[in-house]
Amino acid sequence: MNIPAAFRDLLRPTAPPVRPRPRKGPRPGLLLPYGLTSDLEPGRELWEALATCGPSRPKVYGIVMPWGALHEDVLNRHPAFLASSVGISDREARLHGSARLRAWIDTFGGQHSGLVTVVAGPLVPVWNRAIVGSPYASRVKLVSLPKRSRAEPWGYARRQVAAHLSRMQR
Amino acid sequence: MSGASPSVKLFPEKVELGSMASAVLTKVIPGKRGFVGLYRLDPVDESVYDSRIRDLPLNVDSPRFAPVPGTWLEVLEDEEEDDGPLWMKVGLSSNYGRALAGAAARSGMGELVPAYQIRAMLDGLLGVGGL
Repeated sequence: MNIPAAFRDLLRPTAPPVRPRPRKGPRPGLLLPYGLTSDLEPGRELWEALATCGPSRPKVYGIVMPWGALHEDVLNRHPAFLASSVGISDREARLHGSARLRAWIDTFGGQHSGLVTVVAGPLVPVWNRAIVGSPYASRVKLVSLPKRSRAEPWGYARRQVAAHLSRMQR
Repeated sequence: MSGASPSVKLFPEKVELGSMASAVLTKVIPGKRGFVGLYRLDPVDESVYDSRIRDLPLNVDSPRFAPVPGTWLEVLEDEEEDDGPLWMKVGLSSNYGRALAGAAARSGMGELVPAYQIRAMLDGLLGVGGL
């Protein structure tokens, strides 16, 4: 094919191809059951394995009774606050925790591209109470730990978290 | 916060802070971003009060302590009197407060920012101030 000289220059690449910039949208949030095992604290192995299994680190929060969702920076920086004795029963702590969790989801859920939550043990009813009827319920992906008979429940949870985060960060 | 149940208050009237002080709610200040409960700190044991909290406003870079989203606490000196009482501001943002009010009524919370939360936030702030 003969291309006229005037057009040949136009067809010659003059600059590297422009790649679309990655969108800087809101990051997803990851809610983990703080203190459920000794390894589930910021900086510890299991916490970091869950927090870093996606394409990039999401905003990570710990679910703490009775405070609801606390950012991992707060969990790291304010041990005096976490150690403070609140003097309420476990039942009250769960009720107040679910109320604060619900308020957090309704207020701050929209600031994330989606929420991935890992719940297990005593947190299951707390989470259920917090999420039922929330306008953000459809944006939350729940990862439940499989039954104890499964050999590696946290390996399963990590794969599930990674899959959900990948979809949210696409 | 029109959605709040009448039985759910924003802040407790009085918060006992052990032998250090008791905090008495003097007024609730509504603002654009939420509500502020203004507390006067009355010493219970002067020596404990002096050693634990008197220097707090001088010891912290940022007096606002907000570990639980939507709420915060701040301790201030009296601007008019040198040796006057310390004051404590407890804040509740309007968006979070509105969301919490609905959930709190179902959970039996007497106040949206209960006394135990104020005590815990003050403990945390004292920890930040090294006191």
